[in-house]
Amino acid sequence: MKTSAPERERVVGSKVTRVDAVEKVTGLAKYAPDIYFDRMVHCALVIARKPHGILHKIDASRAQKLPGVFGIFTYKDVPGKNRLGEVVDDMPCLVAEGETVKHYGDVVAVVAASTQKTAEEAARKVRLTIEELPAVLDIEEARRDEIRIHGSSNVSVHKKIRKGDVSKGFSRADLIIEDNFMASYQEHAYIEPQGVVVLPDTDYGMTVYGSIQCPYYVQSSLSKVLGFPMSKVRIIQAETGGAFGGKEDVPSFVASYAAVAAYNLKRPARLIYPREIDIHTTSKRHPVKSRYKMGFSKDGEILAIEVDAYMDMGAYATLSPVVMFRTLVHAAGAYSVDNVSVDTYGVYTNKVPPGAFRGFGSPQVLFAVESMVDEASRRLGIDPVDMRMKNALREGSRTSTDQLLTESVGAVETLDKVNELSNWKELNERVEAFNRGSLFQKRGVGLSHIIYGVSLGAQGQHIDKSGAHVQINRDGSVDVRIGGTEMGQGAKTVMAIIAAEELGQKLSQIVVHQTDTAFVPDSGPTVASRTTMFSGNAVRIACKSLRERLVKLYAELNSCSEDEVELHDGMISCGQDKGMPFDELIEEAFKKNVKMFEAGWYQSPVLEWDPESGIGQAYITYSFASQVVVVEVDMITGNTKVLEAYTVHDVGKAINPEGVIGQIQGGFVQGMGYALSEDLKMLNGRILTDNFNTYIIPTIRDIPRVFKYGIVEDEFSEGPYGAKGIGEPSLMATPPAIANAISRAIGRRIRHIPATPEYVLNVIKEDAE
Amino acid sequence: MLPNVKEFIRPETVQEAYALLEKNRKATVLLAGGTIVSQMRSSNIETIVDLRKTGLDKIVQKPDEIAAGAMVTAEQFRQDRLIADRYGDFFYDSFGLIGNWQLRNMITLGGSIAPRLGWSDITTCLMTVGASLLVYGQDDYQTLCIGDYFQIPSSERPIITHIILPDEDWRYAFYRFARSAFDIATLNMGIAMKLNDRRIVSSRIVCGSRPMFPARMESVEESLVDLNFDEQTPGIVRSLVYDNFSGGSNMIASSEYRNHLASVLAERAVKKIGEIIL
Amino acid sequence: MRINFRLNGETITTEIEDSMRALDLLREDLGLTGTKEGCGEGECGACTIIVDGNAVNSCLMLAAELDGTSVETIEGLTGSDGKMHPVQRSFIDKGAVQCGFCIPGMIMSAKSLLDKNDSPSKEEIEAALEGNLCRCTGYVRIIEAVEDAASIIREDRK
Repeated sequence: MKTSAPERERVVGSKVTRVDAVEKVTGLAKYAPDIYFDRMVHCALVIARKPHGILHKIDASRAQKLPGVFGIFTYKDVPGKNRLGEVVDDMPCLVAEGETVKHYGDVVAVVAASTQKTAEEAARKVRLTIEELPAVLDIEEARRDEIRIHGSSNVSVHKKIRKGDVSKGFSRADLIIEDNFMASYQEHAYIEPQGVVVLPDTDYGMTVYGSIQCPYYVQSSLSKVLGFPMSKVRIIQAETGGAFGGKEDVPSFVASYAAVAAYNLKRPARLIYPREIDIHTTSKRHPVKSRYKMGFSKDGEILAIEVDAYMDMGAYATLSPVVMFRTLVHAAGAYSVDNVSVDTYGVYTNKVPPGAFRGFGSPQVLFAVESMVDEASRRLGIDPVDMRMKNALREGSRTSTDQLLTESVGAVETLDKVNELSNWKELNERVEAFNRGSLFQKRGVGLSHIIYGVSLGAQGQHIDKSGAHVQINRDGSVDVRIGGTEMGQGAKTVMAIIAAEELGQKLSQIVVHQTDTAFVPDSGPTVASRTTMFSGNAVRIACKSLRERLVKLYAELNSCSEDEVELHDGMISCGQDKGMPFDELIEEAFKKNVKMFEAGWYQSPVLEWDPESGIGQAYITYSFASQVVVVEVDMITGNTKVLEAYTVHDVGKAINPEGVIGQIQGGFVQGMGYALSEDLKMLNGRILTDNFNTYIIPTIRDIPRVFKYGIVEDEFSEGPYGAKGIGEPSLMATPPAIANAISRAIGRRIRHIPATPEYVLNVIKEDAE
Repeated sequence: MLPNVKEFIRPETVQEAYALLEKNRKATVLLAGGTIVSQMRSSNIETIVDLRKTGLDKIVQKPDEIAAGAMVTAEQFRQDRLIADRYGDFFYDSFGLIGNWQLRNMITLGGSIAPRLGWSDITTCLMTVGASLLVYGQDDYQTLCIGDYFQIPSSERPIITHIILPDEDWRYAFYRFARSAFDIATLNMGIAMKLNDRRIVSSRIVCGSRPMFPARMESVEESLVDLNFDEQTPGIVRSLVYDNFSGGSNMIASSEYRNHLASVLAERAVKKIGEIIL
Repeated sequence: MRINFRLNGETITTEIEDSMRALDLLREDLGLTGTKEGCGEGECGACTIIVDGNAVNSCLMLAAELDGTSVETIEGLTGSDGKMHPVQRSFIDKGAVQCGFCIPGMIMSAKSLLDKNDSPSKEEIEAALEGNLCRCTGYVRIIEAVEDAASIIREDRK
């Protein structure tokens, strides 16, 4: 059977219009806050406003008296298990009297009222009596274990890699560099805050509409909290206004709170977070403190690398243990190194629990390792591009976990391309010339080169699978349902392209539906840049079966050979015949009772991994990126402006190039905010920067004037059409590129992100004194 | 927001508005644009008095001054012809740095001054050009400087009706430092100088977002009197401002960094004035 | 209290709560959920609407303040024939949309700009949209979309 005739234009790789764009530009798209039901109540949360303490009493008597309040629900009202947590269930749904409050923002009660305003007013009137306990507010304090938050030690997770012998590597080294780095929090700052509507449904269970990244997580969480079988919990994802990891496990909590109200009142319950509640209580990027030691030969070869990284998990483990796996594997960077020792530790503190965020524990260490490599290239007098090139991974190389790379290693090509795209040599000369003529404004060129392990990897392979359901309707329209979600990244468009490519139907006739747990089985989470590959493969597999049936039918009807049947752009033809419109063939299929729906299923290839040594196949494949940025630093104020950016990504195959470009641009700007301005401030465990007036994300005026990108397509045989992932790597290359650019501009090393003006000025001054 | 509001009133005169305010000050809020709405959090508020119909939305030339109504929006002021004739690009450029377009369309001059917001760039700019306030209260109309207005206890504070901009031939410059285009200022600095040929006759050095309310640095102003404006002046102002700064720390910046910024922005502002005259 | 105003070309007379925000009037009472709330304090711009020709944040405006004004929301940009405004068309064509939550506000700011100035420079576009935060796109294509819409509008006027 012919799958793709080379002579005709393919949908894959062509420029298409986003399938969900019309609804989004006309205001018709329905996000969670836009969904209303009759008799719906509005919820607000009562949160603990102390970092650590014993909750003695919840007094809701004043709040209860407010007109319009339907109920105030506490741990006593949780019908099932009062527990939450995707990996470790160490978190209460609602903190019980007598139990400890473990961070500012722990949820104690849910208020339901006739309006949002009343619910919030009532929530403010609920009095909590909390006996304060001393709180653990930073990693160092936590490591001392004088105050323990859970169990016997605050340092509750440790993962390691032992490859080769680092002491041997260091003994051979001409240059050894040791340094410490700190990457602070980053808030997701999706523009749509968390929100759900939970309603008792016609199957005598509960249905949730929500801003959700991982519906199956919500389903399993709600089933436990409500004490319902999973078959009685249905999750329908509403349009989701950005997530970036922030709506991975958090919506399970949000939906659980609302479900407690819906269950007790037997009414639809809506819980939309005000921005402040969202920032105070939901996940962030983990702060990571790392110590690096690296040994180099004088010609720039990396001989050994030793890393300790401590990750602040906050008050509950949430996703931290899995986040740490990615930290571990990415800590040694994108290079071929024989001797590697990495230790990553997860540490409890009395602060908001961080979780998933685009890059998932890797940007913090990639910033550090790329700073180290940059410093080595400076000290050894080797061009930064040459330095990376010398150590880059290639086919036949082994990664830091000793995984042999056999295909789709576009690393070197990204370096070559960024060199060319940025006009590297000339760019450096241009910047040097500027600096010679400028005393108070200094420019710097920064390079980064990164690796990204696609999908969930060895420690997540038990959930690394995806389903899809494809159905052709009698009129020829096609329903595609996947277990992955659309949250802005363009999943729907990619799935529609794949279906159009395989079925030969017009793109406009394919509808990719909102994800609904009632249609597609547990497909794992929509994370780890895995949706194109996992949901994409599942859709492709389902469509291929349908296509075979259509080809067979057409060949029968027209007495031609199946091998010659072509399906393309809504027409089916065979050889030189005049062909048949897609919908007419479907009408024929219906008349003949041909099965016009199919389920697709794709699962991760098995990965061999030894958690004791950290040796083995960490991920199914890797994406690579190289990036160059030019910054200008005001040496008097420490302020940094990014002037130019050049970025090249190896994505395997760009199924939807427009979407890939959108990810590249958006990821860059989000990474830029992390590197420069997004400075989450806390006081005694309370976040002070709790809205956009104090937590500063980039505006349209802050983006670089020159922004160029390149795409490398080194195809991966397991990926649909060769595709890997782009969602996360788009951000990951940016913080180190910017930090290196600032370091080059000011002649001193940046060791902390965000590199705020005040921090940069201090670095400039410190060394000067 | 405001669960206990009982009435929304739109008086047509300032006198009427003041009378409404006097009835129950603690439970009344004067509505004058977006900054006021953003500050409305108190459940004590029972009455909202909207000043929109009080005719305070015009900018007019008087014999020796320009009077801008308290309800004039930042964007309206910025684009106004009278203001442009009088101040050139000073307000167009400075106000362009404030907030964002939507906010500039919503925030009013009076609504920015009255809540005594430390970070208000508007207040700093207006103090830089020597603006005073025409207010209406129990003593009828009177003119006050911005600082004096806040000396009046809040229980007796009159309504700001106009911002009075004196006719003067000074040179002005305003700088602000912020972490992104519409972040509130980490610090702002306005400098005005009256020069007789090259001699500094008088000056106003106004520093705001310290993070406290903008204030003039009078000791610096005094030290500058009769100095000749030359290439050294920016550096002199820089060190004077550095030595005389008073400010604080908050989540945005430390007091030390603000002190440094104040001196840097002052130097840049004086340099800019120098570009015009030297 | 009772207010009268023009909304997307139609006259509206409605009874409102004195302290309700313009945003809540539009979304909850009038069912126009295209206008979004992202921060509730005038920082993100998702709630941008046009009042008497000026882009404003409807979360910082009381519904009572709409009395006597003319209001435009995202729902009013598409004609009764379903024809989209050039800004909407350009946002689609230039790939400026991702999650979409900031988009109605972004489009209203852009529309207000183009109503006043059909040949904006890049700087003028940035100045007009600086109050609209987007976390997905990196803004590059949003600027391109507004430039594209401006050229279409100029073309149409010829």
